[in-house]
Amino acid sequence: MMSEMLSKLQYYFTYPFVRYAVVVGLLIALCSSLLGVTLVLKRFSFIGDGLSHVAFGAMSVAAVVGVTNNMYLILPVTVISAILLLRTGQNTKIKGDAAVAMISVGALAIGYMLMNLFPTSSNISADVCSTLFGSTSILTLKITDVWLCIAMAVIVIAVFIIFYNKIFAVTFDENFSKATGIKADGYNLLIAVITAFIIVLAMNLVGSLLISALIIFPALSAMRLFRSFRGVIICSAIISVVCAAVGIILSILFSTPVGSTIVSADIAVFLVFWLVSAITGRSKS
Amino acid sequence: MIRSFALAAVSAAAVLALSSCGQQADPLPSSSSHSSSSEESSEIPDFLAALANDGFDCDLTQLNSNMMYGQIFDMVSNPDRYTGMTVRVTGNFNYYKDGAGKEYFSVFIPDAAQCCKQGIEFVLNGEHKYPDDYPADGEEITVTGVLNAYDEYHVTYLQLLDAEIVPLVKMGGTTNESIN
Repeated sequence: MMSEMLSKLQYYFTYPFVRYAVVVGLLIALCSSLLGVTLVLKRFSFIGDGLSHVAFGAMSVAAVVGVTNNMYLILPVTVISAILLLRTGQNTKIKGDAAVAMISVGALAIGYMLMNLFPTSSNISADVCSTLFGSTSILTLKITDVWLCIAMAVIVIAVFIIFYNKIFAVTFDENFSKATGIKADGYNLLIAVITAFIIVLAMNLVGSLLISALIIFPALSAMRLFRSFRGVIICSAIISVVCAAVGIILSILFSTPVGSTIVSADIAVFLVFWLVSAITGRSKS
Repeated sequence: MIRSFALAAVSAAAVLALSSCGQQADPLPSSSSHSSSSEESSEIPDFLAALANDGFDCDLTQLNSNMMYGQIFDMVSNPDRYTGMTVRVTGNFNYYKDGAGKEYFSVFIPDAAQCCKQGIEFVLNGEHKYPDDYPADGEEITVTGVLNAYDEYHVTYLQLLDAEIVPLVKMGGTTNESIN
């Protein structure tokens, strides 16, 4: 049974699109887990969902207007939304969570309405499903998508390593970091832009359901057992990459939806970590 | 100094990423462009050779629905690689008649989430009349034929010529029942 599955897996890995899916899936998982810890600690866990809905709305507008490459519209709109939410969210009358919810459902509603009023495809339900859940779009990647993802991963990891101390300071106490001379607004802007890039990329590849889960679950699982920022980030990255790999392989072997299989793996790990922390009492220490 | 170097590296990566963004929405590869990289084309024989089965060059019934979905997308993206091959595929029958009265018969393969579908049109060998000589809409069928691709309104469509509806072969390659 096991050898049969291994030989089946070995055969499936001869397909270029399977290898592309694994590479892209792991890179997105790694990048989103790095950002996830910061976003969860800044109380912006739901921003992945919100921004991907904004991107969905922008995608609908691009389709209706007839923009050749919809990335030229989706990316700026999502980056601007991320900046508005993350940078000014704390100083506006509508606070962070309410602003995310408002933009999220607003963009979703407008996007869906535009797709229905001005359909550019005969299968609207499939378009919506594919955008929200990723479906099997990760198995339809081309080599250009893989290079795009590698470049984005290099950017995110480089920024995270270079500005690690500043991101740490801004994440935990923005006012204190401002008082010590750190340009907190600038770093918030940087986090916002990177968040938008990752979400747009991941939404196109694996859907908004997956990117939200990738941001939240690994970070929360790691926080069950680790107390330091560095420990949480390293553990979160490992959990995210392992769950993505397991999820992609299981979905290819058993023909299950890729996005929800990865999320299920993340949930299982969260439950295990929660149980271990409850038994060992680490979360209370 | 280190920060300047790092920022330069990040900027270069950003430019690379954005230039890749531009390429992403390019039209599907044409016969002259022939795929995006040499490494991609060097890996063709492995999986194509493995798809040959039971006298067919490309027996898609060996694959599960996720893999079949990805494989058909690859066929649409790189039709030159597959044109002229004998293909066997299992999916759901679909009938469509356009405004000009032209009839299209196709086999649809849903993905695991059952919301996205890839379709291959087929033209049966000989004279056939709808609905008498065709299965019911949505019925699971296995079709064989010679693969051809054509462009219509800048979209590439796949079709099986000299097609035949054969006894149903479930995904995985087990013959279950005859529908004819």
